[in-house]
Amino acid sequence: MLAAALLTLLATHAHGADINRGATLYATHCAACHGANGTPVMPGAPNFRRLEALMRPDMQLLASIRGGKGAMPGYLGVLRDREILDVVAYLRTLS
Amino acid sequence: MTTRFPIRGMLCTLALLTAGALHAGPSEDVQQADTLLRNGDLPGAMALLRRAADQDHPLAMARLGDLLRAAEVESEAVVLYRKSAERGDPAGLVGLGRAHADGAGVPRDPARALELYRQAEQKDYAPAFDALARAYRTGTLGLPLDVQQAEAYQRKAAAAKGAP
Repeated sequence: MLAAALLTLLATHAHGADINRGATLYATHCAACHGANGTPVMPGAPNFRRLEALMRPDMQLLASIRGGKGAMPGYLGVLRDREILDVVAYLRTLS
Repeated sequence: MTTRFPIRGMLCTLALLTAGALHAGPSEDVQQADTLLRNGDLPGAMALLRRAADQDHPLAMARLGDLLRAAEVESEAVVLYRKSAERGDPAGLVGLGRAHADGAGVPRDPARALELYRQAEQKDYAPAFDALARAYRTGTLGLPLDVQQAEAYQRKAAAAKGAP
């Protein structure tokens, strides 16, 4: 029930993400490895300045950020799903 | 006639193994929930974590708290984090600390958040190092803005994650 409600919430939010909040969250949580403007600082991290780094649906990116990928820790419990989608919306402005 | 008994025995063993798999313990439920989460199966993970948390498993409580926080059900998340933290689980300590840092489901209390992160740090828990790195990087929770300390904590987090 809760999971279904969450999925509905996310589907709705995906169209109304807050890019400014995403930028702030990115600066706090991501920039240390992914670079202030999306050019990676850490070897192996994707380059968000390139379009192909983000050629996946928002929900797939959400799952990767939530669960972690490679050297990146999972952000489940750190960021709310809505906040992760704000970060994803901001990332899409970088390329 | 005699060949029936080994077959019956094998069937019994299979049934027991299947029953065992169906009624795995809470630790196995948490492991399986992590796998489901990585594959994007949120409802499945939640069901397993709920079952394990109901069996008083402190890590399951914290993980379920994380899912509830992700869904912005903050007050219920805090109840679980608190129970988990009371049992000394570092994931519960960090979860409760984060709730105090953000004022999510509890009053905002940066000093209490820092105290909880420090307790989890003592348990060599990578997310506690991550949280402290962020606090130093942003100069929050009463800590000075200190990029070198932030980087030191990031390295500690990476080392803790790399530990078996």
